Amino acid sequence: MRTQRTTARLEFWIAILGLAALLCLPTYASETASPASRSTPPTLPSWVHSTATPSLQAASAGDLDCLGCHDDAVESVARTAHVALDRSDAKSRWHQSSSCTACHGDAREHVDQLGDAPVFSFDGATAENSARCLSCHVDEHPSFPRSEHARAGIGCTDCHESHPAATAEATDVPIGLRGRPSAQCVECHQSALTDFSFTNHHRLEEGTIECSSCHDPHAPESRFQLAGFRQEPCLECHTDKTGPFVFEHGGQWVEGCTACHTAHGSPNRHMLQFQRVAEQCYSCHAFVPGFHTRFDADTQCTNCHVAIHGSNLDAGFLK
Amino acid sequence: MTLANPLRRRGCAWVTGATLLVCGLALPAQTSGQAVEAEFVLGWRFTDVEGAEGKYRQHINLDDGPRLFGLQLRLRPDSELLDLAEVQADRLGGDPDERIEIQLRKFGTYHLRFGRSTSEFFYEDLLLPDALVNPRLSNGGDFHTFDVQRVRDHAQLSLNIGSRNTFDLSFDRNRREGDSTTVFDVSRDEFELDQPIDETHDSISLGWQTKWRNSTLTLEEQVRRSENTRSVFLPGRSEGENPGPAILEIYFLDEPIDLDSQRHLVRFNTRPTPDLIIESSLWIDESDLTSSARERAEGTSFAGSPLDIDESGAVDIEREIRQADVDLSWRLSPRVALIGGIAHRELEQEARSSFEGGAQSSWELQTSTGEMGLEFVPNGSWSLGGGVLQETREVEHEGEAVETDHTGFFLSTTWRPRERMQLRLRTETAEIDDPYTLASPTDRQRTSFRFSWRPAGGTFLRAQWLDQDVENENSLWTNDYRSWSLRGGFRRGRLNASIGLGAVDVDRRIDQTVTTVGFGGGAQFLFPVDFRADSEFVDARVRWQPRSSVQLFADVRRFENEGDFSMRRDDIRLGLEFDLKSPLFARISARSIDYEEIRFGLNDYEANLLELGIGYRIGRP
Repeated sequence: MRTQRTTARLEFWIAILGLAALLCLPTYASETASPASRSTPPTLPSWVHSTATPSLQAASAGDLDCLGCHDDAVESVARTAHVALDRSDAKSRWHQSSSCTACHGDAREHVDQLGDAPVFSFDGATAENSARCLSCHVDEHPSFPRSEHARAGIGCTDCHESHPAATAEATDVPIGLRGRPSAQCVECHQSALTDFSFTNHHRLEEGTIECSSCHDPHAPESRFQLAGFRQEPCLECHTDKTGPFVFEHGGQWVEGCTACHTAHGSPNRHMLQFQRVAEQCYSCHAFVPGFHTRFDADTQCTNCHVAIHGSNLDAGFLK
Repeated sequence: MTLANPLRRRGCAWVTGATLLVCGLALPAQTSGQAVEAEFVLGWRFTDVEGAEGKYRQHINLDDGPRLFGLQLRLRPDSELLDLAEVQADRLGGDPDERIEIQLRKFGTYHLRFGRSTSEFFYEDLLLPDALVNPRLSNGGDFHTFDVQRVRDHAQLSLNIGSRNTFDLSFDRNRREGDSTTVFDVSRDEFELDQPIDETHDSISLGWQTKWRNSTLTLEEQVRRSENTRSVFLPGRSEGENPGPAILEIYFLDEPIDLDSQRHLVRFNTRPTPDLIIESSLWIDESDLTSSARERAEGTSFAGSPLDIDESGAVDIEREIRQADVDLSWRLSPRVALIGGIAHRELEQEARSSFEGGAQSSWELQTSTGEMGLEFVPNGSWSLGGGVLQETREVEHEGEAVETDHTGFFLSTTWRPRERMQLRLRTETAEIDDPYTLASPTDRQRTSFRFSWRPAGGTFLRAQWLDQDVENENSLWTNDYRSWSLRGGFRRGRLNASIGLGAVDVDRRIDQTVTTVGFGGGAQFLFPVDFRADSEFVDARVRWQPRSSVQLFADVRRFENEGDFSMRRDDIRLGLEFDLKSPLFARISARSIDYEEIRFGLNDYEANLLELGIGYRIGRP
């Protein structure tokens, strides 16, 4: 398939040059957009003051002068979705207001005492931190308190940053994961990243999938541990394998795709649990037709049983 | 997949069109300050492969030619319509894994996302003389080949309507196209056949969410449609793989499949108090598959007589899944939380076929689960958790029922002895009665330990250990998995370095006594299954900026596997990036991959890649 380079390459270069031209338009090449020194953090942009939401303006110029001492924090929130807190009535259930106090609670005493009185700063127990986040975000993630992460004492702020730094902090992740959500996962789940290093693996580092393509970090690991028909995550992409079929491969159908495959990666072909396919099959099948004695132990069962995931035409999965 | 392919060309049009859209919307944007961040790198890759090119294509598959190595564009315009516009793209121009993501967002109002990712998969058997065929080769003895591309498009719109309502609309399309070969057993001989792949899976989801002060109701409807033109044909006269009189002159099997599914979901959660969350859901999934099959074959049979097969038939399958669950999370006090839930799922499937005399099948599956857990946080340094799960599953197929019971426990503890240091220990155990297969567990024990420490000064240390023992005490099947990893690094000014070690040990065994039945049956033989994989990983990464305008990076990895399938792979990447006349910069990177299969060496390859690129960067440090 990928054997020739044709004139379509010309179209590709036209598209890229067009993109480059757009980016070079004077409208965007303003002096303040010139590349900053790698080590100089950007100054607080003027648009934060002039175009900031009313809550941020109140925070900066109102009776709670958060911006006066915490300009970095205020600016960082302006880069996130929390900037829209005052655009809806979704006020925090902890404190019926918006902007900084929506998360950190009443700060009047903190301001009156010039910072001596503390505010809630998300450095206590993770369950308490998460409860505060869930006061607003419970509709998106009602299952989080029951998730594996929550049970392991991991809270929202362990993965999410409400005050992202202006400069991209260098993190220790493989080249292929830089700038991607999965980089967050592999910071803790090193063993999973190791599994993806096997020669046959799902394309995580290559960018085809993310960890969240199969796992929901905000929900319990599996609604059913034992289950039956546990193919739901696989079904998103591998619909041709999950049927339904007239003749189902019962063990695989009941126990799920991981009965035969290792989902992250495997040194074995097709990400199977065994390199020798007969070992995979004979792990379950203790009864075979009599003429199978003419096959030696190294015979690939799937050379005949080609429709091994299920068949509509043959009970022996021969077609 | 050549660049002439319409999918690849449309990918280029995507980038251009998306950029035009983003820039067009952002034109009124304020142009001062940090409103624009952009970076992209255009360049050329040179590739040199020695050895088994088929194996290189299966593993790496990076080709030479022009590439858009990366593109990130982020606009924050001062606009009533838009807060954020973002375009991200990787490896466009011919790589096996390409990705484009576009998002437009007005915080609190709407969020619009588009994306496309492509993935190419290549698998080719190394056909060897019989004397050398060995399934312990990475490809030994497998006649299947694949050369396919998977394209995934998705679009998603989330719209806030007023302060209480959210509307979600999403569309997903998965396409899989390409060529493959397979082997069919016809008249006791094996014949290699072509099987072009052409599948499309579409999914549309509509969601509506209404929030009250203490409750939220979510409704979702999802419609999925899959089409698969499954077709197998003989490319030319064949005498088969085995000696004998069987010959095929003509063979084709057409089995186009249409699958329609609908899912109806209702979810309700309520918070009677700030510390209590009760959520419940009910969903029903209905699937309907129709297919018609036609098989035609002409030739000579294994007995030397004329072979003439002409079969056709229709297939009709219905499946329905129903699931209901209720769960609660309750903070009894600032220190103690209770979690629990019950769930029930039912699956029914009926299938009918009129092919080759007809067949019917039916499946019923019911699963019920109850779980309860407790979390205790005595202080800011400790958290303790534990729980129990009880599950029952009944599978009924063709009048036979198998009931399986599963009881599981877990305990976990997290300790933060000092700031930025964590230790986590978790253990799970499960007992299963009457598992469904001989390779399904009756006992499962899993223990994991994690340590992380990030002291001030930019250093870090992480360690992990996982031990999982799974066994079936009836069939004596065991499946053990052990892994550990250790990673440490530091950051000093502009130097960022880390090194990691890891190992994975897998041990799967069963001494299977196989009984032959039917014609020629009655014999028994022992088939020992004894699989071992002992893998070790070493990797080191360095990023260094000797000056603000120069950056060096290196990523070195070694992976070795011993046991049933011994192999070794070294992967070294080096790179240099330096500023040219602002805002341009140059990037040079080299990569060397050395793959070796220890036992036979027939699939070994060595690949060297060189990438030269010119980059453009504004608004980003």
